[in-house]
Amino acid sequence: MFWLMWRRYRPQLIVLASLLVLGGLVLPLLTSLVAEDFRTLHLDQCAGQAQYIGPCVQRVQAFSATWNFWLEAARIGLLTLPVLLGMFLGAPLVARELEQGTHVLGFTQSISRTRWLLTRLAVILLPSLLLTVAAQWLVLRFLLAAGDDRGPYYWTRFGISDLAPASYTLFAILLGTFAGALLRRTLPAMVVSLTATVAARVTLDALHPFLLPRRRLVTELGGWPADGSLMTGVRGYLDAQGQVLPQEAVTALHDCRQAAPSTDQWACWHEHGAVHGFVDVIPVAEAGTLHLVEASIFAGLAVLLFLGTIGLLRRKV
Amino acid sequence: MIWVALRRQRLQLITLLVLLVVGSAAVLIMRPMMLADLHSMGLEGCLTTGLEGCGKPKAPFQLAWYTPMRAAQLGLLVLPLLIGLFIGVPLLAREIEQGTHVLAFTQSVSRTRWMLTNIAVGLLPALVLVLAGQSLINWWLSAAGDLGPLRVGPFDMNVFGIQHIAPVVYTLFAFSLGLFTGVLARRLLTGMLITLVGFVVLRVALETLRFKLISPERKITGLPDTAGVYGEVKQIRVDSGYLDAQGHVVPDEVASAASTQCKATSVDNTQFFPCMEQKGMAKHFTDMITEPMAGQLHLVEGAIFLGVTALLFAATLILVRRRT
Repeated sequence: MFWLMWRRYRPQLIVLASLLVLGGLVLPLLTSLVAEDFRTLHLDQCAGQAQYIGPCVQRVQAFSATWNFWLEAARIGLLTLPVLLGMFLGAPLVARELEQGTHVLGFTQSISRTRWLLTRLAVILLPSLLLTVAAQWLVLRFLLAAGDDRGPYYWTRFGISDLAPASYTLFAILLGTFAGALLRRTLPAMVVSLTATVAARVTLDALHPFLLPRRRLVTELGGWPADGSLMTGVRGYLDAQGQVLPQEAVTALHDCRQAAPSTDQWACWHEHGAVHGFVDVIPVAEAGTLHLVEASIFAGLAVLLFLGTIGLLRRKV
Repeated sequence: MIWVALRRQRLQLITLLVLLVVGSAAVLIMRPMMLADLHSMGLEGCLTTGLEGCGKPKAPFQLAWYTPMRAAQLGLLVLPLLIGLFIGVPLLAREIEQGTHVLAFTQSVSRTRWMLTNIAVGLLPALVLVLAGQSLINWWLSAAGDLGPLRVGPFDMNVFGIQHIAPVVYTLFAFSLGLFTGVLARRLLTGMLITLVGFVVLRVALETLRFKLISPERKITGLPDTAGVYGEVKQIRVDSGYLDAQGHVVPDEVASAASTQCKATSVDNTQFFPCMEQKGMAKHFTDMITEPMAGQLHLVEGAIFLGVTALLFAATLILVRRRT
């Protein structure tokens, strides 16, 4: 059975292996080059400094001019990898057989349809996951060597760290398989797989603030936490007793803007009872938990899609 | 003939129409919402004064609006590729893979006419969508001024790809590449994969070569260098160095040797620059690609893409006519 599968999916597996080899050669090379540039420009002294003023400007700009493009390309490559795997490997997996009628031969053999699907999935899924995890390790090493210090919730960072790439790949491939079994045609299945994977990713990104309990951060008036915590969109003002200022009082604060020049603005706010600001966030330390929660959602969806695919295939006559 | 082509690509055309309607509606709703938000946060002044002169908290605005604006921008950047993959490749590859081209080839219309009609029916609506998307999205993003994704200037790779003729030429290129690889590989999936790789490779290659395509503007200043170009993000510095008294460029190794010697003998700039002048560095020059040159750069890059597109169309035509 596995021999047959290897013969059946040879081009796909060769493409995956070539990608792995290519990444394994290019990314370590880039990593060592970027690390050397980072050292010779002494950029470790520039961490946390303003981007447009100060002594680091020239060095930071020289570094970005050379490397921004490659860093961005590595991020985008890793972010799109699961989508492409779902589209090019997941969607045709069942759809092409159904479209060309070759499933008939498979379905009339002595093995069950469930096993027929499982073997196919295994042959595609395991190498894909291997490629994803290897690419993740290589890309993250490259980004860290370049001093990439965006917080863990920044969208291009969250999607390439921890369990994210592997869970996206699992989900995307099973979604593609399901779409193929449902639509029975390769091209529509690929379109649906692309659209639905992107939609699911965007939706879950938007849901991040609701997946974990929030913590209230008290700030100066007009202040804003800059440590990379995940903002939940809930913010407001506290009075001297630490009570949240009601909405009418907040509306009154806006009048300060018209009444007073910007220097006395905070004094005006104090008169209206606003002493501190607050923002509800999910702290940086919770990023690992958020990854776990998100990955379990994607894994759960993947299981449902798998069961759905089996249901569709078993019913097919 | 046109009717047949329309029927064949029904699904693609309906998808394009849906994208056009949904996309336009989204932009038409989002832009006024964003302007209302700007107004209620009192940030209108920040659109022209830039980020530094603003002095008001803009993080809440950017938190709410940066992601949708970036998403629209990214959507427009990948749209040409998607058109090439899902409309360009299947147009001929699917017929050849399934053998249905035999029927078409044995009719009274010539292969050239068959191909051209199919291309026109697939390509023209796609171009309409791209142009509409481009104007609507740029109209929305420019309303956010320096608070939105356009603040990085016309040479940033994410901005360059959505302005001027870029989206249209990328679409033409992706479409023709899709047609060609589809006919060459004779199989849908292989064609799509090659198109994806080919499109990304040429885009990336021209992205890295872009600033070598046109000759930069040279700004010459006396010593010390007062051009102050480093803080300006909206233009590109291609090269800089020293000129001698005759106006010739001083080779880098000569300049850096002089700079090392002068640094060793001087305590500050008032001694450093006269020392450099003594060693023959009369002026400082900076080669720049300035903001107004963006249009020219678009035309040069567009011409390259259009040249490749023409070659691909011609090659496809030859392949289709030779097929037996």
